[in-house]
Amino acid sequence: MKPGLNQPCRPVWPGLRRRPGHLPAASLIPVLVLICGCASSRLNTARENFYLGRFPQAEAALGAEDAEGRDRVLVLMERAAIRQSGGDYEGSARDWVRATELAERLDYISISKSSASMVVNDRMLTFLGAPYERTLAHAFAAKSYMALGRWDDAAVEARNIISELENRNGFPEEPYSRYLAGICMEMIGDGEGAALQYRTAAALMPQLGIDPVTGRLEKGAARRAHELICFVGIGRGPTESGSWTRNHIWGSSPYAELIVDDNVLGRSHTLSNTRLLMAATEKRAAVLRAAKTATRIAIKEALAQAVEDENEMLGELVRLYLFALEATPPRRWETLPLWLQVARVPCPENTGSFQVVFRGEGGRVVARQTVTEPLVRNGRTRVSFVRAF
Amino acid sequence: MKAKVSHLLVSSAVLLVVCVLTGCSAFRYSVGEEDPATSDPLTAKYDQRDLLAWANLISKDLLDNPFPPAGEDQPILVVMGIQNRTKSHQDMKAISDTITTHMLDTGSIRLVNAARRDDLLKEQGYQLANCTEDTKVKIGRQLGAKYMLTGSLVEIENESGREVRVSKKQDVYYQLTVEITDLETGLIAVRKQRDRLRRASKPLIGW
Repeated sequence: MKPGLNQPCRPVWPGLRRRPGHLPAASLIPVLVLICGCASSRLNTARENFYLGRFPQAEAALGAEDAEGRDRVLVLMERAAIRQSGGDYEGSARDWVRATELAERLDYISISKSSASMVVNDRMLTFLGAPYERTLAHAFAAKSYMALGRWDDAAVEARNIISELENRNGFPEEPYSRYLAGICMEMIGDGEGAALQYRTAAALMPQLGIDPVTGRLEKGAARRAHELICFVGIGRGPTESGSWTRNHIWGSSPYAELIVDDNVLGRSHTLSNTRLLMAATEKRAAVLRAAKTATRIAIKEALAQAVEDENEMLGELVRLYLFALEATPPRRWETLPLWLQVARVPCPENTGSFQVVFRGEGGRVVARQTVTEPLVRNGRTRVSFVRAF
Repeated sequence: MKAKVSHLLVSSAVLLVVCVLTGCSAFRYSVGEEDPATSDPLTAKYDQRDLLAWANLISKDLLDNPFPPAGEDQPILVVMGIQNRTKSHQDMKAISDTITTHMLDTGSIRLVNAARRDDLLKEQGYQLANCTEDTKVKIGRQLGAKYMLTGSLVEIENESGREVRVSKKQDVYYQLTVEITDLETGLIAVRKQRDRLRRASKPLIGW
């Protein structure tokens, strides 16, 4: 210190050796924690409103404009699901198409985000969706296009489903999307394309007895004069914490009965379960990122050690922070149903609406709905979809 | 030491001036006219260059076939749509409109407005009920088409496999098929195809 200079009084951490001009590494850690992104509050608000049936409020929570930031693909996927349930099929299709386009465009290794993820966690990376989420985005967009009677556009999404599933790199197959892609192909008159998807779905779900040629859910079923295909979503898909306890009201194998004029036309069958898809995806992803996780842990330990060299207590706090971030759950598309089902039943020629009875454990009635829309006709086939939380 | 600091300051100042003079343009919003037929493609996917090039070539191919056949003067066509068999949501009506516009301009064919049939009937109904005798159109005088124009656009996409590289190659191939079918006999009078392949290189690493 030079004589005659008045040094200002500055607070000093106990035991911390101040080095003039040196910014302790620890001061960067809280900044990283703040920007690492815990689950966005607006996403949580939207999801809560969605499952309470308050679709306008759910959509308002996410805003109407194009999303920005690391979670923009996730926001688009969630908003699309909210819009579809609210009857805005055009808006929902647009959002899902935008989400999948963005996911493809942003699918590169970002040096800045990867570097940050090596210090914090994978939430620093741009959300691109798990492979099954991207496939289901195409599947749900196809449903919206079918609801609008745009069969060619639904077939475009079917081709994207097939492309995703043919290039899934060891991630799980997805029979629901395969079957839906088959329906889309059948609706535009591509019988061979449809049969290929039905055959694949039949091989994945042999217990269902899917007819590999016609796609009927009973082999050898006689040709029907008129048919109703209903895509059914039941329950709540996995949340960031991995599960949702409310699904217990559904039991282990819920289903929906379709009824017209007090006649039970048939029931739905589960083709996919998003919790099982998530678990299989996590298993595969863990293998792929094992090396990265090990490296990140080593870097965090080195950082904590560097701070500990200056201040033992602060070093322990930093270690606690950094390793607590490892426990942050991955981001997920949470407005997906748990059970993805299809019902394909004969129906009267003049079917303008139908009732759905949702049954849970032991056949107990859990919910009822009357469906008047969407109910779109293409020749002798009617297509609809319904959801129960 | 002072010389080093001075050198560093001068270098930084020069770099800053260079950045200000050249880098600023990268941050300015700019708009310019481009020729839609010859502008550089931004992606390997279908774009306006394809639309214009194919429409021009296909319409010429159809008329050079030759269509209409000898002895037929300005046959009437109806457009029943070109099917989208790609993985992107394209405006297929734009393709058929551009093709038929080229064909109409040559005077070789006539075209019925199938897309506006409902509007036609609506206007005719209105005129029948409300317009004077000398101005309203006669009902039941629409001309029937002899041929229909249909087609399909197919896309085949391939990407390079997973390898240790800094970029990924993507080939996107399109094939446009357009056919004219005789509505009376069901025979295809003429069918033409055009295709193109674009290769894009997509970086695997970015900022």
